[in-house]
Amino acid sequence: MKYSMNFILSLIRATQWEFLLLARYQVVAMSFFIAGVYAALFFALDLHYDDLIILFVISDPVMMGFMFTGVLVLYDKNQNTMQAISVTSVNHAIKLGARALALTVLALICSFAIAIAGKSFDFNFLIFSLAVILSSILFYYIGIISLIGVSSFNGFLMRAVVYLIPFFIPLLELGDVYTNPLFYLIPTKAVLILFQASFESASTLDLIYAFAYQIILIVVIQIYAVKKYEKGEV
Amino acid sequence: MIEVEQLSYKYPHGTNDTLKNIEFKVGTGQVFGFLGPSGAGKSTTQAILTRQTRDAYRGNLTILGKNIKDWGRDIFEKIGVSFELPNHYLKLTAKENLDLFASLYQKPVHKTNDLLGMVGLESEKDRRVGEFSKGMKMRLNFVRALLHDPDLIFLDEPTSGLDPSNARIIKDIIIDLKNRGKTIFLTTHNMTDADELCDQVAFLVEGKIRLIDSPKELKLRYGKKSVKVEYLNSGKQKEKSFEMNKLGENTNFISLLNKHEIQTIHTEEASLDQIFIETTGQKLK
Repeated sequence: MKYSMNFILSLIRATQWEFLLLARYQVVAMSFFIAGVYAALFFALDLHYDDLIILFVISDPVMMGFMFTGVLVLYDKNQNTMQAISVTSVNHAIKLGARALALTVLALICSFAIAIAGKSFDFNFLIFSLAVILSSILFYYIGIISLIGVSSFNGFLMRAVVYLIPFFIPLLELGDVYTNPLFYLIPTKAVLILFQASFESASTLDLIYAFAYQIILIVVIQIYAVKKYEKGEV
Repeated sequence: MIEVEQLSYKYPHGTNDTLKNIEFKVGTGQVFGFLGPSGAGKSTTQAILTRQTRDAYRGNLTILGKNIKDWGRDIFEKIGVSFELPNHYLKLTAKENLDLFASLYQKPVHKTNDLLGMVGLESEKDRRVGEFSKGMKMRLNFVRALLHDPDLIFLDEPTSGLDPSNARIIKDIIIDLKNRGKTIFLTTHNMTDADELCDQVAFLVEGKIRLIDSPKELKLRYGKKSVKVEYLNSGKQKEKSFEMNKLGENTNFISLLNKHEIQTIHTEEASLDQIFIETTGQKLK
């Protein structure tokens, strides 16, 4: 019980610091700017195409989770702050988790802004929130493992292309461009199902698959990412 | 406080051992100087002792009475580490940097303003570290290692990049820490600092310890047992050496003191620099 309380308190403290770092690195300003541009587009053009809104909304937590993670970790590497953190008693799961939380809160604010601009309040807030939270955390940890062995921003961009292109393939289902049952193997399919469910509807089986697949992936990838981070390989 | 037995280490892609059967002990309240040229293995040893290098090493390492492999992350509540190069969040201020690191410990920490004051950075506390000089960043590195009042402190070149007055401040803090019973593992190639601060020094060359002893013992063992007198003779500066043995009965020495204006008298013990070169055949760089 005491350990759990310490863990939670440490996580809250670390998350507060991560927010300050996100603000100082201009990540908050950039996120609000991007979300603002998307939202303004929907307002100005009076667009109400669900598929288009879903595409924009998905790109926000996914890109924020993945790309900003890369930028932040590269900042850490260039400043050697990971070395300094490695000789403190903080649990690395807390250190990584705090950044995931901070980015997820930011993603929630931005995603809601885009969704409300496009759909007004006509969507399921609970499923939408869970969709943003799970996809943001999942792609944050995918972003961490994509950084293994990368030390430059150019190197990260190359990795980002390799990682993100396969993940975006299931989005071809939007607008009925292309569909394939194998998409169920790609985590973005699970992300897509949850966002679609928040705007329209989805079968119970699909919902169970989407929640379970993302949660299992988050647990597995988080454990792997923390181990790699502890070894200084990220 | 630290016991190292038969420590050997090879980098994952290296061909030869970087550290070769190193052995030493550091007692509680001691300042232990780990000296050697660049590439000797000093920082590798510190990295293993502070668990930054987790690759397989051979040998036994005991820290604070427990094998290092048996410690969890709680070991970092008891040890502090200051690195050779600055490593701070450049977009945060000096105070924010210390406050952030303070938040990572479970135990009570020193007031960050007090720590900044100790190294003359209190007036700069609200400046972003990105605007600091290297010397200011190094001072911040140093006090960050003291945040949680650790019992064992690893300092890697703590006076590197500092002007003499700030180096003096850091050395005085190290002396004060020693007087308060803290144990300090000092990695340096600065022999003057080592001579002034250390109870024991180890000379490390090419991964092997060549010599371990107190600076005083080494200087006596390797120095000449004589005194050198510099004096003025008809306006010209001259010097003469005398055996220390029965110096008070040496009539030449006493006569010189009486007849000439004495400028300096020094014992001729060896410097740590000279001893290092003599025992290792290498110069410190």
